[in-house]
Amino acid sequence: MTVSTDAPTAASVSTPATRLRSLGWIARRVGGGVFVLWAVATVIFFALRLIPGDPVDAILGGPGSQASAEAVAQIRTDYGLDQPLIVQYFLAMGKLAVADFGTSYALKVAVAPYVLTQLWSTLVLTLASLVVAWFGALALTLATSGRGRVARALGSGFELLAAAVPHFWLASLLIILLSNTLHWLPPISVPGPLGLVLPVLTLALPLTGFLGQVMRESLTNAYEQPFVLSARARGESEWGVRLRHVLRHAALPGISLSGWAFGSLLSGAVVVETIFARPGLGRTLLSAVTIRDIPVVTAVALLSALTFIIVTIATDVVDRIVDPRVTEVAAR
Amino acid sequence: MTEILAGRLSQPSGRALGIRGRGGWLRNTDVIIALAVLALILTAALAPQLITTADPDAVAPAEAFQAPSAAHFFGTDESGRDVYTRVVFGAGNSLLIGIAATAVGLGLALILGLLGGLGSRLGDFVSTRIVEVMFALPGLLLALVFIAIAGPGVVTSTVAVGLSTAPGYARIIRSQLRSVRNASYVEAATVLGHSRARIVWQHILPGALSPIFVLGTLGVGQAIVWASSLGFLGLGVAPPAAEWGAMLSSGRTYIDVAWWLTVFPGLAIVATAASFTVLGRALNARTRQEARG
Amino acid sequence: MTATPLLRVSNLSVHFDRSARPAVDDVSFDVAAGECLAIVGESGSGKSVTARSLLGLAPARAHVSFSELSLAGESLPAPGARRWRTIRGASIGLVLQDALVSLDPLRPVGREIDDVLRLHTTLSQRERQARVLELLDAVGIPDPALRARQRSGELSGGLRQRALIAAGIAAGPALIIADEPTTALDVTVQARVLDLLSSLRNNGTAMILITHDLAVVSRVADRVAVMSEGRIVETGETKGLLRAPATVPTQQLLAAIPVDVTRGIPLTLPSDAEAVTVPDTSASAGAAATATAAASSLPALELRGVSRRYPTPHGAAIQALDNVSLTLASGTTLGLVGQSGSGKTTIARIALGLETADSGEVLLAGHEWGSLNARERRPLRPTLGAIYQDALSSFDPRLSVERILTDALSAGASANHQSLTTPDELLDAVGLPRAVKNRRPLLLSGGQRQRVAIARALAPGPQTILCDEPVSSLDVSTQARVLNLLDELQRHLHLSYLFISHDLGVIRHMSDRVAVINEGRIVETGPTDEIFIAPQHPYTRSLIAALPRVRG
Repeated sequence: MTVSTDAPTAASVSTPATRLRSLGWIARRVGGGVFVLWAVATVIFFALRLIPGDPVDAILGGPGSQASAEAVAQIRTDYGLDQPLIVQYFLAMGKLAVADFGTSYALKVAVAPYVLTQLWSTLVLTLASLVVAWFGALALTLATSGRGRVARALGSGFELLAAAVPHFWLASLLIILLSNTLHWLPPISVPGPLGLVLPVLTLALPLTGFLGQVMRESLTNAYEQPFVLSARARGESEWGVRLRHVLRHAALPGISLSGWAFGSLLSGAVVVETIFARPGLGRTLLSAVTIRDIPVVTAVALLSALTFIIVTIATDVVDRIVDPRVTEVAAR
Repeated sequence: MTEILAGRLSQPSGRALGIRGRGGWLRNTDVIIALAVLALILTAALAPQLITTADPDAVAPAEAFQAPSAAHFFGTDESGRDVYTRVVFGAGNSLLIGIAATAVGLGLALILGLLGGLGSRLGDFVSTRIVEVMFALPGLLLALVFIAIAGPGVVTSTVAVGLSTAPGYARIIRSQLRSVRNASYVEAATVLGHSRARIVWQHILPGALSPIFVLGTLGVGQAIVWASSLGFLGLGVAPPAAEWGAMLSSGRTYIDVAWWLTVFPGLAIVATAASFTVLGRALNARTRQEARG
Repeated sequence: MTATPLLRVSNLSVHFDRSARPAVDDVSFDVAAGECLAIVGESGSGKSVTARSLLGLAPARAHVSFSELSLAGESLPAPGARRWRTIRGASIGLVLQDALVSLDPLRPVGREIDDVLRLHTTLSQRERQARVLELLDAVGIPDPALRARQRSGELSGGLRQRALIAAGIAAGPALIIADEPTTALDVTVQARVLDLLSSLRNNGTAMILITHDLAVVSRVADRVAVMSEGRIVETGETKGLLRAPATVPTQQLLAAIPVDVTRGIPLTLPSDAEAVTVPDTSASAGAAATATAAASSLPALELRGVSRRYPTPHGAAIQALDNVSLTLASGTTLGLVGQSGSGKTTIARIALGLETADSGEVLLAGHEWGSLNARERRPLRPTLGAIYQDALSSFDPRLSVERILTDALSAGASANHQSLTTPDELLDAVGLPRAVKNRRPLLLSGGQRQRVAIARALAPGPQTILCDEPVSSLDVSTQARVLNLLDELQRHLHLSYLFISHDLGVIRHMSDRVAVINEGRIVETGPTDEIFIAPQHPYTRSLIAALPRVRG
């Protein structure tokens, strides 16, 4: 037999060059993330200055407050509002760069440490929900795939409805059912794992619907691929095909969508934290929005964006490790 | 969330979920149910008097908190108003807000998408960065920050919802334009000697923008859900008016005693959103079937 | 042949739910131990469904029936039976066509092969690992330890096909079913994979080879069964059957292969000769005659010293074209042949003015062409047409055939001829019924689509047509009809073709002169017969040596 001269393709070996390329890719992503944070901060800063209304009013507790002229002037100096706009901007950016978000208008405390304590609570809630939704969707898809029409229809019907349910309504239903009628769980979030059950369920269920739809489709696609025929022709059993081959392909979009899913959970957390009276970024943001506590709004927005960006980058890294094809497409 | 669903569906490789087999799309039960629900909601929105004879704002304190019965299908609220009538009359507000928000989102996305998909390198760079920044604040967070700046109210909350859906749409429109721009049939038109303007107008735009209608249909349901969330949080329609989110918001206070105040307006939202999704997918599958098989 | 054949298939039929005609219709054949039986036929003839039924893997919704299906005297189980799992992979191995996804793209190749050993042997994990490396080595994969850890996307087409074969033979099955095992591969790689399959057979493994390619058959198979419309129409020893085909489908398959049918002679199709009605006015015939006289002076298309580099993501650059010079004499065909990745497509794109060369000149009928910008090119475009491999994707999916042709007619017309000015005339010219104009290309067959593409290319009245792999995705008999059409159009309309293909047979049949391209360089140019009979360059010689031949 002749010696094969089939040339190895470009992406064949993990050389220092390819590793360097991955590092460069991560560096670009991080740089992009920093840019986005700066842009968010800048847009919020200028947008707030463009709208009518004096921030001093918000600090003093609304336009109706009857503060003396001296008090107003004092506040103006304290918050640096007497400086020219561009100076204020650079001062604000300089402070943001060292994570100094200033003082809350309403709470009169330093924003940074306050918001950080809220972040932890939101992270616990959202990450727990992500894990629950992820495995829920995977289990649902695997259980109802290849089982005949009825199971499939039930599965996709559940996914459709779950994906259409608003968080706030689902929360109310769960409270009516599990707290008020069955008395299994507390209606508001108490400390400890028991208090986490209802909020996590509320956040995770709609996401389960979304992820389930996506996973079901890629599972169906995977079943039609030649490698499944190859595997069967090797004598692999149905469950062997499912667990060794098809499962990975079904799970892939679940991984790639995790970044997006985390974002939707952050968004849902606003509602869920409010309903279950649970501390967190979402509830902080909502109350800050209602009273226009601008430093808090800015801090929460930036912190959420930062968290979201980190999770997105992490997801993409995992995605590239699990599925080598992603890199090829990205390098195109 | 629509952008994920629609983005996935509009990829040529993906298989549509809504339609199976070769049968006409109207033969699917899920599409028929969805159309029926939407017809009902549209009637409620345009001519609520056809479905209910009562006045949504008629207060009757003596009849407060009545459970669902033959007289009051969905029960009564804390002021004795008929919940069924209020759900019917709420359809108009909710639908209007959903459609308006989607229009705002799509309009903004169209500008960003065209800039990115057809514009110069610089245009693409700028539009991509703007979309990235908008994406950094997912969903309600962007809406809330916008409301923090512009103040609460029906109009701002509608614009806020539109704004938060825009980056998703913009990404789809851009990638759609890009893929059509590089399609072999566009190259074939160039080789025939057609002018650039004619190719853009005759081949690229019709091919790339046909999914917008589908996107809009898929998006309205989600926009209604988000708008009602803002209403529920007290940032949208103010409670005395009949709007599903606002009704749920005021019903929440009485969740211990009157479950029907929460259940029925919520059901209306879910039914509407799910129906729009089913319809949007069926439309998507049909356009793709026509275009590609 | 022994008394008990290894595999016996009697009266196998496969019906699909919605189809009236059976996909496989009462098929019977035997395979002896160590024998290679080829099942040939065009796509849709039922050969793949037959193969899959032998493994109990007929597609869902298929109803399989047979009077006997036995391996080494033992009946094969009913579809869906658990016992199949001890037969698949162990007694019968399957090798699919190379595709990125014939091996699981998310798993290392070694694991895929290991699966077979895990399921059918009692070897320990360590023994299995060693065996996987032996197998990879045996199928000719260099550096097995590295390759075993890679996933299918990281291997080249030839290596993937070898890995698939390794998985097929891992448990030492008595019978291997190979379904189009060389179809997606370049000729030289194809030749090596065929050698590998032959060597397996020499070791005593029986084989069923499913293919549409009679040339492949003649190289490997002992016996041939020809399938057409679900039925086996002819069976026989390979040599005899190819020399004296008895039935029409076999004759068609054979006759349509352009390998040795030289320039000018239409590929014979025993049935259905098609009438092509090009308006053969005396004017155009006269013009043809005068133009031929002028041919030597002004080439239709000329590339002089064209080079093109592409940057890669790793920072390095790929030299796609290196100092390429080509001359297409007016009224003739220049065949450009090379394997995938050799730079054919880049030449096509530069010739069509879709891309600009880094250096060198491109002249179209004597006019400067390569250095023009998009606006300056437009007035010249009607003189240069193109047809592509994938006709369907070259049509706007929203348009009907009529609108596609109207659109092309409105693009502008070259000065030289105005004979084809309506969609109807264009359809007549390419031998399509006028009724197809209301249809969308999606609903047409592959051959019809390519005819529409040719009609579109003719619309502006071009002098030169660039044919980029125009028949590569068509069945052989359709391929022959399209080639005949192109030939006839060339004679009637005095067209010049730059004909690009990886298929040496097609190139030989179509070309007056041939240019061979390898790794971005033209290695040899010359009159077709000289290139094929006395190739000078070693690369051309290796290409021609690898070319499977049916006759001779």
